[in-house]
Amino acid sequence: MERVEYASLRDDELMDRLERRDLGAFEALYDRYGDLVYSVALRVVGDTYVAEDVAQDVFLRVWRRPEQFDLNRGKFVTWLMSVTRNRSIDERRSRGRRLRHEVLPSGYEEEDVLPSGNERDDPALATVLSDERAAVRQAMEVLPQEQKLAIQLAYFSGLTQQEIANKLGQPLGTVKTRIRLGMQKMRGALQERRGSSGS
Amino acid sequence: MPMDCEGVRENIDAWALGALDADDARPLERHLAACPDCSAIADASQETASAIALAVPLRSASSSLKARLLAGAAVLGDERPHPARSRRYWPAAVAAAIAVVAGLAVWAAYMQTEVNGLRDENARVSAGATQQSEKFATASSQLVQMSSARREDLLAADAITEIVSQDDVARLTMEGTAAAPGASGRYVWSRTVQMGALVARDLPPAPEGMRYCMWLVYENDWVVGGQFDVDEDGNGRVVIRDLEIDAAETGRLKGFAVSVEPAGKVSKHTGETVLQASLD
Repeated sequence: MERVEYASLRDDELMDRLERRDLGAFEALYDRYGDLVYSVALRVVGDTYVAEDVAQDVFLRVWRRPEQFDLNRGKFVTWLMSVTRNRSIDERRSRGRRLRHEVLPSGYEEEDVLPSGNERDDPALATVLSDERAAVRQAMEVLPQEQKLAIQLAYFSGLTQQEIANKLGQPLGTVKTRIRLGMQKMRGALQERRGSSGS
Repeated sequence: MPMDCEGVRENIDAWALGALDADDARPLERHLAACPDCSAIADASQETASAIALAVPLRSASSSLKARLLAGAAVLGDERPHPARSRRYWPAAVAAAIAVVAGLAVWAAYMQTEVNGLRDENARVSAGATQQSEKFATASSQLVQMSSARREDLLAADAITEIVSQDDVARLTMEGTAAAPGASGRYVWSRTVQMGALVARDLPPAPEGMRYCMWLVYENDWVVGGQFDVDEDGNGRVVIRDLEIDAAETGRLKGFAVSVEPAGKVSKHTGETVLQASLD
């Protein structure tokens, strides 16, 4: 029988194999993205147990419904992050006020997602998507703090623009502008990087 | 109200971030379904939004998560989702628990073999060297104790399997108090089987002569669930079953707590609380 080197397969090739219920491909996808999915869930829900539940749910969804990924709509990791974020936000909302007020540390929502001195990557994981992650961090680092905060509150805390405006005590129009300008700058920086790297 | 291309592009980034109110999102999505140009912009905006996730600091998931997932996927096999499935976690949880049970069974058998082998070795050595014999006797005793602990783990895993496979299984995260700020716990219970199980993590070692005690906190009383010890990593578990509760006396169940109490029979909460969770 042919021996498959799963680690060398592209994401979309692994997903094709998932359609054929290939457990080795599933394990390879987990090895590649498991910690990332867990880390994103942890950032949203702020609780290790719940984050593991979310990560488990996300990967079992990938296993059960691989056909939901459409390569024509973008990269696998983009889709996976979208699934992870949405599932995490659902969990966060379902736990409502209790989670936000009792589990998340004070000021957590306003914390910058970019790693600070005491919040570096686990060194063992530093190579996971290192180029892409470095590019996103660079793109976010150059954003004005208020734009970055508005985007983070939307993405990681699941707040609407109106809720962000209420939370920050800013007019709704100001929040809309911050989000729009911040996202435009990020998109531009990421596209510029892709252009310069030829990918 | 219909949204035109300009309105869509004004709001597309907020939509991609999930920050648009439902009343604004619906007309935008209707427009996207009919406008290829705006749809392409939406894809790009969603890609940017998803990229934000890559900025998070990476943390390692526990090694048990991978084992649970692979066991869950193997059990699910070709199964496709059922509509309106009531709970999402149970197949994986059951599979994980089965995997844990199987693993512990193998481990217990292995430990028993080790104990038996060590006893034989002990007997042989003791004939010629008393000192060596005592040393091996001590090790043998330790292994017997470990094997016994593993058997308790096996029983606990069995109970957890039963609990998490019930339709009314409930889960609650317990948080460390100021006395054990780094500790945490997960309590699962089912009224159907009248059992609950606590898995605690990162508890400090209990003082000499003391053990951890799980409590069910009622309005009028704290009811003992059971005592347990923790391993060198601060992990412990306890299964609570066959409790006779007189609701007229205890009142409503308000939450759960873990405290440090003297080893042995305990009927009243006196020690410091280290874990707690409220149902309110």
